[in-house]
Amino acid sequence: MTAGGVARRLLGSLRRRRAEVELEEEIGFHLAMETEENIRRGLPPERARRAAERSFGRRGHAVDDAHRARGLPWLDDVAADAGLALRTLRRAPGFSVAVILLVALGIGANAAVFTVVDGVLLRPLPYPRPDQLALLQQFRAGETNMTHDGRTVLDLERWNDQTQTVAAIGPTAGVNLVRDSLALHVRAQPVSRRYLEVMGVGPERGRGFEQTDERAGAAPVVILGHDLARRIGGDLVGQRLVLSGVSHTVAGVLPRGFRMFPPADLLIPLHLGLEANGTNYTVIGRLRGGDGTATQRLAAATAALHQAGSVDREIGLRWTSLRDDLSELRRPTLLLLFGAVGLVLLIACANVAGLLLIKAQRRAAELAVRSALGAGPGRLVRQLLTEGMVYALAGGLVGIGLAHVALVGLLRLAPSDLTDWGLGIDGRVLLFSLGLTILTGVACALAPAVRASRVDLRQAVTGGASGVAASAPRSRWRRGLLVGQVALCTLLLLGAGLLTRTLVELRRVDPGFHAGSIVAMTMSPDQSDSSLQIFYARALAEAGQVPGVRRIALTSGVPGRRVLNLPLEVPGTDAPLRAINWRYVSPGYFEMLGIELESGRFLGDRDSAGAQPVTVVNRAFARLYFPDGEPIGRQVRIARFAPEDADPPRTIVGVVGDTRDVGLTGDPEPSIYVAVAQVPPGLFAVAHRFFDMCWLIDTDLSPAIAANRLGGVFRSLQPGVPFSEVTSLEDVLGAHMAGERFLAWLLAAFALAALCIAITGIYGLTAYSVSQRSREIAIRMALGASPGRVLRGILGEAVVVAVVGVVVGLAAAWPLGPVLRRFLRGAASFDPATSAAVAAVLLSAAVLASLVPATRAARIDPVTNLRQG
Amino acid sequence: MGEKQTEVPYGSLDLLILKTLEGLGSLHGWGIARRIEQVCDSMLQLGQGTLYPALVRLEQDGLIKSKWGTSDNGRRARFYALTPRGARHMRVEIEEWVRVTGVIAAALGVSR
Repeated sequence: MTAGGVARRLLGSLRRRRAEVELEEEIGFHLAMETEENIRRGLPPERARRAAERSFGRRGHAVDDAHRARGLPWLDDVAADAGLALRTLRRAPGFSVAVILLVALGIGANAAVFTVVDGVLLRPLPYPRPDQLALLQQFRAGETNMTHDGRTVLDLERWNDQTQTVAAIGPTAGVNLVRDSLALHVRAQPVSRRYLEVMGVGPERGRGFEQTDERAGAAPVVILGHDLARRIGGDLVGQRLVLSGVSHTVAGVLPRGFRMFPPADLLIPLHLGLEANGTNYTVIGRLRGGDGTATQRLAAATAALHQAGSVDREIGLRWTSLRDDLSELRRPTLLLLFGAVGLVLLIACANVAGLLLIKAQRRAAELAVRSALGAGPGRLVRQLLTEGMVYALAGGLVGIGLAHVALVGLLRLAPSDLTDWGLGIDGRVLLFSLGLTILTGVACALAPAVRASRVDLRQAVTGGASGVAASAPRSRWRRGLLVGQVALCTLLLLGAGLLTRTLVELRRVDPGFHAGSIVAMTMSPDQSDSSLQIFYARALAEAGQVPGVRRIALTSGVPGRRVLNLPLEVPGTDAPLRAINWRYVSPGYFEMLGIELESGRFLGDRDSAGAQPVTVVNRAFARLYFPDGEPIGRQVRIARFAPEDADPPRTIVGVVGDTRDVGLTGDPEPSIYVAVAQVPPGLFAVAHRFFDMCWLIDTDLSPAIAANRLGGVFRSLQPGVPFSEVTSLEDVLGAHMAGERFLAWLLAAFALAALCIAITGIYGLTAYSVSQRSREIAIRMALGASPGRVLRGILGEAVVVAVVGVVVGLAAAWPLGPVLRRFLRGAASFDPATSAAVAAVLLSAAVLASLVPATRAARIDPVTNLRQG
Repeated sequence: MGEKQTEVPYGSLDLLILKTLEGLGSLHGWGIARRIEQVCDSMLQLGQGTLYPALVRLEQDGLIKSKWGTSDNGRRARFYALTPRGARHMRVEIEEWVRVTGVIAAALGVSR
């Protein structure tokens, strides 16, 4: 049959009803003509009609044959099968709901995880020719550092030509945006003028940045993201708005759907000439010439940089594709989750296959009769496959609904870098789910279909349910499926157990301060002159009076997060210049956070603007610069700063304990603290270009209520400065474990789902086995077996399945250990206690699941049962 | 319709329909049945009902086409006509028919 023929026939199958009506009309016409002809030949009307019908033959045959000629017979069979399946589905609603829910659970979980995997790992980035986008990385002897200092970036401007376009990106900064009565805290992204060219977009309205915008003293301009522009409202191009207290003109608005890299709300010009200090630049390039050209050009450029002395000779440069860079961090996590959720689906499939086997067995007689009436084995297999497919499709449909819900929960648990991708269920996810659903349907129906094709007619028809030994070979299949479920469940429980242990260990790590009842509220101060000092002093005093606020302190950055680092010199040591974490704090900061005092004193009220400039250093700093000597009384000073930012040399007056600001593992970083009253205005500007300052409030109030009460106080002192973030310090610390927590929670959820499925599987097997063997059990009891013995026998069956499953699962976990190791933060991937716990959970689950049917078996009354037979 | 009548040999009905349409142009089902019975001189027994599945099949294969029209006595009827592809197909099939029947006739020792 040609393709066209198939298409016509497919149409024929689909248009069956209309074709039949037409055919009936045609036959009616035929019979009428034949009858008239017969009348003309002289027959009386009634006989003429009958003669016409006789010579036509059987009308029904003609219609059927015509339909067979018209359509695709197998399609009609499938439709009939599906109709049959739908009828059986309605006939046993409990069974159908169970199967559909199992499939929905598997498909839903997979669709949700796939949405994330697809969005983060598979889908091309939402930019034109995303494969050409790459980040320039610096590396020195194994360690990589993505950021560059201003001198490198200045030279990079000269790299632009036909084969590549390069742009520099500064650190994203929180800024206050004010327009009329609207005050927003937004993320501003400083970029060099070729940024939009590199990303492959132009402004939707207005213009991009030009060279003149980058000059010192240029009129401040801003390019707004589409969402932000819509939030402000109106046609903003050419209009003015206030950013960080400075009036900016809106140069352009970006097109809808364009996602800035890194995520931000607006773009501002990067003033390279002004910001040559500090290694804070990211370099992004569009490499049009392919890998070879890019590498060649990079080698030449690196050599030039080395020669000019802009970059140390030990430092090399390389391009990393933007896609890899963005997804690198979460790739292992997502792949692990994808594998785990696949196991859940596998368990669900095995369970459904077991249920369908039981059902097929109950229908053995029906199938045998159909087979005896001429349905070939192929036809029966097809019927069972269609049935499996109907269940799978219904389950898949419900599963998509579940996936929507699951995705919301999943993204709530996810670390923030995963939620930035704008993930949602779309065509790709639906297509994936459809494919998975079809696979599931086939996988679930395969075992029953294979069994059905080998049905023994005579036994099935005559033996019925009374055959005592009849179920033996079939229950072997079900037991096998169940062992598989328990084994997979063991794997998931083990993974969840190990990750939970890791999470517990991480929680035990001492961050060096008590997060306790402290609420952190951040702000981007607009001013960097002495008025900031005045605002701070008044706000501290007034906020301390607010009901519910026990203590209040402030600092230049949230404790437990990355802070500003500055190049520091320690006169009198030969230590090289290096970037050291730098914070200003208000009096009472250390006491409030419970940071240990190692020696000397904390900073306090006496460290005022006029007093001797002092600093407090942490233990890591003392160990780095004064491994043998006494740090107290020594001096430190900030190096390499323009005169207007100058900070006086400071005397160390105390050494405090280390706090963990960049993560819970690894060594603490050296840090210094200065009193906020002693910070010169220029340094405020440096500090808050990249980091929001932070208010710390010791309170029992919820973060939202605290922010509400203090917000009023702050606004009365200084209108128009919104809080950028309000959170508890506990959550700040929790963010360090976000990746581990995400993984542990999801694995625990998957393991729980798997456990539930396995329990219903064990229950189902035992219950069915009891109902099948009730006669045998009755005979045994009549012959003297005690109820206890019957109970033990049934329980034993379930326990054997569970033990074999657990052993298989533990054996399979062995080679999988290394996969998990990288997520365990140094913990062993084989943990006897976890393994024992998993085995105990599964065995007790098996006993519990089979207890009800086993008790029922023990209560069988032999006399009643045997009489019924 | 007596016992002497022979059933239409398998496969030849299609050919008879195509030939009929070639000769008479557009024709409805009853007309085709009448025509076949006439030309076969009522020697062949045409179960008229078997005509319609054959028509459907031929149309599916693109050998004939149909449209609804009005018959001579003013009734609505479906009229069939040969397509160019059907005409080609018919010529090939007739050659084949002649060849096969010739071979079989020769094999049976019947001269024609």
